[in-house]
Amino acid sequence: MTGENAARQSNGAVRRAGGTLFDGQSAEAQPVRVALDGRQLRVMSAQGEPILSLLSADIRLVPGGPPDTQRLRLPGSPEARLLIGTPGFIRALHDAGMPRPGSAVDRMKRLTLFVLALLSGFGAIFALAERGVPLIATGVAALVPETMETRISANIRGQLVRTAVASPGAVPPRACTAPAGSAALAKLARQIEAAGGPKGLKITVIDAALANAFALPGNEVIVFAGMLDLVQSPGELAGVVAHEAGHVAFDHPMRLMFAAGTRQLWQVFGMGSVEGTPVYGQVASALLDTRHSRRAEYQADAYAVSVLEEAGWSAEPFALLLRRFAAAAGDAEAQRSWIQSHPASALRADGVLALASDRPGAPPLETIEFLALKNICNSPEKGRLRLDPLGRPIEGSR
Amino acid sequence: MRQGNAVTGRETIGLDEGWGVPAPPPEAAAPAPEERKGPPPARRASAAAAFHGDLKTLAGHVTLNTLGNLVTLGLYRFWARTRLRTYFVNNISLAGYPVEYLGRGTELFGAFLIAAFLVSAGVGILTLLVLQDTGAAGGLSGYQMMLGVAFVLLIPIAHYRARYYRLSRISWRGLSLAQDGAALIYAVRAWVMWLAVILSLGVFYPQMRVALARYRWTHTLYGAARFHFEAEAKPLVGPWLGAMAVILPAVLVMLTAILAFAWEAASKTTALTITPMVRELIDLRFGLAALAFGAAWLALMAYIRYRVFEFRYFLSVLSVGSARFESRLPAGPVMAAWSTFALVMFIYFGLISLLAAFTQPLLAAPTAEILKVGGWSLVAIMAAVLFASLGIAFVAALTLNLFPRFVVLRHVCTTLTVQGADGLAAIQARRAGDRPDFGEGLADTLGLGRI
Repeated sequence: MTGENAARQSNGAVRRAGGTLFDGQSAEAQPVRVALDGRQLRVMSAQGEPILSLLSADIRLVPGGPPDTQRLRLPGSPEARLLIGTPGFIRALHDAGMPRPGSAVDRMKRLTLFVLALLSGFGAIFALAERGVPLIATGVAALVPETMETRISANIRGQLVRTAVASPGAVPPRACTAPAGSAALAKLARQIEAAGGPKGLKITVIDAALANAFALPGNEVIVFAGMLDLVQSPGELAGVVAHEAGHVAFDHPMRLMFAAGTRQLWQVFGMGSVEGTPVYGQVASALLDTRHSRRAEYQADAYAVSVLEEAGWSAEPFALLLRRFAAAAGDAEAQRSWIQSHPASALRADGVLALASDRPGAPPLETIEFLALKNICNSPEKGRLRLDPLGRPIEGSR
Repeated sequence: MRQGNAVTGRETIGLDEGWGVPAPPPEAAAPAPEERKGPPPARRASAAAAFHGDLKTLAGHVTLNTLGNLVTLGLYRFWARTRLRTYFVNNISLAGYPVEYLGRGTELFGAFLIAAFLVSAGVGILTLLVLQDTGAAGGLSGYQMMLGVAFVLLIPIAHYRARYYRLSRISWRGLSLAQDGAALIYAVRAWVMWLAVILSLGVFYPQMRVALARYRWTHTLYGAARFHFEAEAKPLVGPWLGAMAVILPAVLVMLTAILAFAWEAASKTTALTITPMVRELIDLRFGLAALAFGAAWLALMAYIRYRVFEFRYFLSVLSVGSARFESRLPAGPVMAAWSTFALVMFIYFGLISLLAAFTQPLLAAPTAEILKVGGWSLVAIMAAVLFASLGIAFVAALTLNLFPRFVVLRHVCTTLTVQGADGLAAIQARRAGDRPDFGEGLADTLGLGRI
């Protein structure tokens, strides 16, 4: 063998070859000769004048491309490349210190890096879900002016109520304003306010069968008539209102709205690719959703306990009400609670009892006031279908 | 005539001829460089492109990407996209020299963070305005329309900016591509041209394509050399009208099918007067639906046929420095690849719909219903659904990258020739600092982040 390919070693490695150099400064393909001198790669012009001298360890093999040509990334310029068509020379370069991309050690390193990167990505998402989103939502919610909150509340109340009572042939629900009931409701609100509850609480009873209550932006609380039918004592009702007052106090409606917006954006951003990513975006969004709203429920429960006791009432009836919800729902609720926004009622009841003191409390309303409030819609004889908290009709409610 | 791959060194060409020729592989037993000196052969008039990718490597990339996306709930997509781009671009060689993708996942991720923050703030403020607007409870409010219009108007800006980044990361012969021009000017042109297309019921489409391609390509550079693009709409009008002759009737069939289903739904809830003709359409709705799918496929094929013609034409009027391009890309294989993809996507969305139909009641229905599902625990069902989703997503991703990306790219490369590439050697690099540090954030945020 003569010429540049002649310096061949026993393992097939050659220490000299021809190549093509792109210096990253022009598109000119410079024919070059390359030679390995120990760990140094010397690049010379076709005439043998030295052009470059590089350490083999600083050179990288670029993946892909024609199988019979190797592309080397040279240090110093992001686009300078050396093309070599002699496999033996590449072997010699590896021997001289150029990292082997295909080696087992390298593969393990890359796999480890990949797994680490994935784990940190997942950690970042978890941190975002746990801390980032609530933090952003709280900060942004605080910036929204009161007047805007009130207007938003007016808009979404209509939508919420329509959604809540959506069933074929449903009569559009009205707000109930029977004088005696309204007076009792006002008394309850006043007492909660006096016990350190949020100022300017606006409670509205909506004539709908759903056994539920909502807090809205702008200090508003909506109680559905179905909930009034379900509560068995003034203490239970006070618990429900105090819980919603807790949502108002923590500005949960706005905060959860912003958190929901963040999740929706995540879904939209998650759809950046057609390659199945929407699935992942939706899973992420669902995870964020349940975590935030569940935490808000526990927060509102704790708030309710402190307000109820501050007002001189007992939190026990509230826990009783939650227990009744749990009993009505059975095991199924516990099973499915992990994907739901509300935690299982049984767990909430335990939480309330754990926070409550044993001290007996006075009833928040006189029996006559309580009955007036239960009849605020004054329409039990109209044959309204009653629904339990899970939306099932209550037997004999018609 | 120098044929084949310049870097393989298989052709006999003198080193002092001025073309880079590495030494041949030892097993090729080609003469050593010293022995290959002699009179330089005739300068090559045209050189071919080639694609060297293999399916096994591609499948490996898709697998890793799917897993990465799953574990990070979609956050890995920037690195996934970069991995695929590197695979596809690095396996192309043009006129004998390999092309290279230089982009990094972190560049896409950084841009996403910036764009996501800005878009979130904008969307958040607009959403608040929408919510407090009294019109929100009823129809579309002014703000809602603003939100929609803002997204539509941002699309061409996002496209142009994404191209700015992508080109800056594609390198060949040691120089990268680049784009100048202003995204806003491009976007204004796009909005005007699209309006013209809509007002002309699609007839103006080739004019729009040419006008936008002209702006893009005349603002594209290879190193410091600017591309020239001398396209006119005239040669495209005939092929486009031919495509329209298929697309318009197909759209009519699809609209009729949609109307039939809409009427059927409306007749159940509202007191809609149903004429006998409408009744007949409603009765035929499933036949119409099948016909609509056939029509959609025909329309897709007609459109691809046009786009392939347009691609060949655009390349024939494109030049940079001394280099001109010619493509003999046949429409048939491209149509076949997209048909395969469409078929798999049809099955994919069918399965997704089934999954959704199966899981929706689980998540929304009263609790009692859940327990009726064959005695399965909910956790097991959710796990099964997640697993199934992953499988479906993987198959969809693999199909997308195989048909059309891999197959079409291979056809594009094997039918592409470059004339006068020799003269490109004189082209110098652009001055440093012209490269964007991040890219494609807006496009990704708007869901336009394609490979």
